[in-house]
Amino acid sequence: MAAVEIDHAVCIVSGMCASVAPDIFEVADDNSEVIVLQPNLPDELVDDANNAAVCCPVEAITVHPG
Amino acid sequence: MSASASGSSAPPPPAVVVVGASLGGLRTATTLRSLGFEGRITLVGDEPHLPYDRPPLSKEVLTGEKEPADAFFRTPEFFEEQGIGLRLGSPAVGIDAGARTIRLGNGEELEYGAAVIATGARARTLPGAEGIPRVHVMRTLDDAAAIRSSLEDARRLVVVGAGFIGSEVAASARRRGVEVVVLEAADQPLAAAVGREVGKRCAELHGLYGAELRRGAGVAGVREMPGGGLAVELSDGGEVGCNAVVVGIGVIPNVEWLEGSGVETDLGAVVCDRYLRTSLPDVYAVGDLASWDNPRFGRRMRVEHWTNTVEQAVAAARNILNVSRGDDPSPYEGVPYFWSDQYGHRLQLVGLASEDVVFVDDPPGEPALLALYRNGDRLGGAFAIDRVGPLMKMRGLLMRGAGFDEALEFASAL
Repeated sequence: MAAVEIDHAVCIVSGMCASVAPDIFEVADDNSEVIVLQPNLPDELVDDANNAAVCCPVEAITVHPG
Repeated sequence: MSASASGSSAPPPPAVVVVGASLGGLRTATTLRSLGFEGRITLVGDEPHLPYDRPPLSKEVLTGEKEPADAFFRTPEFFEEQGIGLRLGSPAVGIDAGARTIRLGNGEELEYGAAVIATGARARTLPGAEGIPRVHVMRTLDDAAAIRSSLEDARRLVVVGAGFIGSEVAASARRRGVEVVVLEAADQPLAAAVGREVGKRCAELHGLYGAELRRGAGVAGVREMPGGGLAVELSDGGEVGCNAVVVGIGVIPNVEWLEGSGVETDLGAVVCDRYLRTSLPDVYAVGDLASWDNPRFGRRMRVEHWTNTVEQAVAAARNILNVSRGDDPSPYEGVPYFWSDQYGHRLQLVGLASEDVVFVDDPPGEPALLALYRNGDRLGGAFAIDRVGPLMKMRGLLMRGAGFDEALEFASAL
């Protein structure tokens, strides 16, 4: 199964990922971090995860193919 | 997967020349490779630097939290590994559509099967103030290094223009303890970008963090003073003394090199169709200089935002690849989005701003807010200060064309 992770040291909480892939990423209520709701990706969410990785302004998202 | 796997008789994949080695050019090139394009890719840049990211320049690089070198996207080894040829330090000077070549300033000619125009924009300068030491614009890596050097011993900085770049520079200078005066020609900053009411709220940040904002302050020129200082001359006859000036009054798309090439331009922008194709066959454009027909909004737009450039680069790369394989291109239907970090606050706009705005979250006594823009009975856009999650939820609603009342109800419940 594919997996996704965020490098929190790099993440600036732009929120792009939460917009592109709301089923996978969520911005914490206090804007302090991005929470990964689904670290392990079902097939139907892999495209969303890849799109989020592309749109991340600081390239903090890595998608590991299954 | 290989583009030529279908048979040994398949023609070699055409070369792609990407003109412009900043965000748009880089992402077009890397996306082509990650999608499996096997032909030659050449990335042309007029600056001597490897591709670098601009958002940190006006923020962490000026405050000193990052070094200018931290802004580079990739190492030289990356380009070797990816088979992306670099031509840095010599600008492209023309396209010969008949011969399918792009000519560089050093005389080199690059053949293309497909080409991408990603030469971006340059900072507008203050007429008459060009070349005066310690009068800067904020666009390039070299600009950021020069401003940072000026800020090291400056007591007072004048920022000309209270737009987002000027405001970020002002905030970074304040962080360093430098006195800041922001001069804005309009009576209300950012009115065109985010609407008057929201613009007022953004502008209030300056005063909150000790920068002085002067509205209606047109600048006539800058004069060097005998003691080494600068005097910024105002249109009304006044003067502001300072040690450094940063001019943030917008950008001009870099389209002059296309003159005579047959690439259609309008009002200084490259005219593209909904697939980001220019008027020349197999020549695309992405980023700050591309005016394209956005089907989502049913109108032509040109967007100077980071994410728009990334999304257009991906879209152009996909279309180049699809067309080369005999498939149809897909339209680019992006929703404009930008963010700006100032004084420790995160400002974000998604969609299109207007004066028809409702503040749904506006806690008293703090800068934070969430505002929704109405476009007829639809949600037109949203603006937030320190409301990242809710703003991004509004982006989701915009992407699916949500009604305004639905968006209002949804946002109020957040």
